[in-house]
Amino acid sequence: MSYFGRLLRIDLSSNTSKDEEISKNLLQQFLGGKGLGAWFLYKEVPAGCNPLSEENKLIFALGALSGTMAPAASKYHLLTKSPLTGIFLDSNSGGHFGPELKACGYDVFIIEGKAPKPVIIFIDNGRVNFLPADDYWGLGIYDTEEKIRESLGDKRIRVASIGIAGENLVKFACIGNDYSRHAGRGGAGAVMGSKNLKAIAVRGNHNVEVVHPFEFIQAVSEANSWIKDNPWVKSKRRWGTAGSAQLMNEQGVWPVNNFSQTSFQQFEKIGHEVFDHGLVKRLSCANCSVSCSKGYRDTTFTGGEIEGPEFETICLLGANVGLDDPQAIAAANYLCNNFGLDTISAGVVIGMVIDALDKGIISRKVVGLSENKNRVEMVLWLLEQIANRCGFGNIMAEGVRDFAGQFGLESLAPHVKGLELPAYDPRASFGIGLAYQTSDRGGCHLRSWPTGREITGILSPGNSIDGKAEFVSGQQHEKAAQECFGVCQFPYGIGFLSNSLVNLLNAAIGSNHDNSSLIKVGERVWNLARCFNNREGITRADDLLPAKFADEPLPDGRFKGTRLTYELQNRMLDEYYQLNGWSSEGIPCRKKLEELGLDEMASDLWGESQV
Amino acid sequence: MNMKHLFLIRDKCTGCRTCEYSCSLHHYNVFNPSRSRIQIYRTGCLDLEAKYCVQCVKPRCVPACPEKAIKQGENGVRIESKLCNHCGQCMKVCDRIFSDGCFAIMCNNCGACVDVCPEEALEIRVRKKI
Repeated sequence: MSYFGRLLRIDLSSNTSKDEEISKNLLQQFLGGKGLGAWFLYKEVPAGCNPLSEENKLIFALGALSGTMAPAASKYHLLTKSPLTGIFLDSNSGGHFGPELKACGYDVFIIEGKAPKPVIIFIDNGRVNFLPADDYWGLGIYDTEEKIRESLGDKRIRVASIGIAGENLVKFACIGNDYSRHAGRGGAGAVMGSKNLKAIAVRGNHNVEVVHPFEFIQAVSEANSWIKDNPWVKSKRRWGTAGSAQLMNEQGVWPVNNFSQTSFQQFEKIGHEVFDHGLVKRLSCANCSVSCSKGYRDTTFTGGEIEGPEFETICLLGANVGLDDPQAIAAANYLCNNFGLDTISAGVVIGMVIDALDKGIISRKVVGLSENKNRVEMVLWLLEQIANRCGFGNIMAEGVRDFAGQFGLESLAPHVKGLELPAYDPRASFGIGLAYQTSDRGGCHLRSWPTGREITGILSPGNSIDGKAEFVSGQQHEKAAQECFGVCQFPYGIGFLSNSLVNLLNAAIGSNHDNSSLIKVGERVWNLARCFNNREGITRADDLLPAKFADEPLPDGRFKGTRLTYELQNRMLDEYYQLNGWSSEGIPCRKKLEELGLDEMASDLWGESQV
Repeated sequence: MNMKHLFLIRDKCTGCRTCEYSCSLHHYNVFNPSRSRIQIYRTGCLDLEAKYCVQCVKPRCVPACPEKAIKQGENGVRIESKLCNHCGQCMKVCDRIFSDGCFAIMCNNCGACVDVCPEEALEIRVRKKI
């Protein structure tokens, strides 16, 4: 079976580790990855705790297919309570760290407590070594990774680490692995920093086996054929995610200048062909045939190398902050990679500051900006200020919600539940608006992505709410299930568009799942995450977009004049809650939770059952 | 005599390591890249390094083995597992030989990695031996 059925608990306060069993029942109910991690998060991280305190935990969860040859089974999931949002956080990253972690012989790693001094954990095939990190504190993610491999003397070792942003508890600091891959969103890097944990190095020699090897190899081969013929994959393989930028710009979905416009005048300068022209190296995560990663080098400002820049970065650290120089975008991306900053959140916060400067709400003096700095210098300088929590950067490091709160700009700050919005303006895609409203970790585009289907006409257009609740609800459940597998969504699409994943899973763990039983697993995971959030006080009032998107009509683009009013948002929510079996306050009903086997959560939210 | 050997076209390789998984599957019926006879290392943000036996004309590993477990025959250099005592001398003279935990292992040109490479970056080539 592709599970080990084991959990490794690492206590940083006492430098100890403990091997525990994961029950078969739990593996059946949650499969792995996000689901399994969410269970431990709910059970072990107490309600109301400070995310940057010792009570919070870092839960690394591997998927049911992690460590096998299943296409793109490269992801590890990191679950923790987010310091940025104060709610549920599931962040994942590809590359090669996840499979190596699985090969240590465990499905879940829980890191708890707080080290008295900076520390690196070296998990050597399951044995935990605590190494002093004094010589590493202050290093960037790239250097940390290289120095650890060098000092441990093995080129096979994989590393996940934080940069100075994580050390300085920047609320949107990320965890980086394999140089340029990140568990980016929600500030997990700050949780690592709060525990004085600089890095996790891993080397695993365990065999990963499957229940039905012959069927599994057959399923791998079929999945690879399906992936090869998937039309969506062709563009990702050729251009990477950057290839989507042109369409989103043409369709008027792209946030420009702090979400104030939707098409970028200087688009040609930062389109996918520009980055393709400077392609240095194509790279892949483990066992992936898509190779969406397009290596690029900034030779102008920093000399830094990156995988990317990705679509989100080109928009939010490009168009959204008014940068039209591909080298500058790559430089900003490199700084974020090495400091360990989420490029989406960083781009949104900087966009907000630049907008406030342009509007005269704050002065250059307050920000500490000298008059002679041009736009590029300003963006790169602000990134450094944020990562170091220097001066004005200290306020920006709290995230856009807190930043806006300090200057009375709440209605303008693009976020949901504190998580900065990605590169789709909800006024041009009502579907993504609902996806942002209801995503488990706050404003996120990766739980459901209706925008593509709105553009292609499979769903009603972006300025209509028809059918959006049904689509978003269904896709969130499918995606939640998919995220228990440890696979990337790019090769497979979101959810279960073919039998590939089902066949791979059944052969790997010997189950008899079909699409509908898997979607049930996803629904269980989705409801569990919602229960975590409800327990933290999240209700319907939090499931709304900032006033900007409800009140200010789009000034340009295909959907010029459109707003996503609160009335429309609420109508979508009503329908969505009803479909989900949630109360009108956005709390999963007892009946729904019991149907999903989440009786314990039902009691927590609704009290002990009277029956 | 013609010598077969594995060859990786570096520019095509994206570092997905499907070859490593396929190698361990072929030789051990498990997924375990640490037991692969081809190893792909990440040496920089955009740099990869591949190590696998290239079938040297004058292999250093053959004289290095105190057990005479490594021989150069008609099909190339091979390790005879039953003679190997895992002393590690061969790995000291060549970084293209690895350990599977019990024995020293090296590529035997079986080609299990060639067909699965999504980038068609691997080939079995034939070198004319003088």
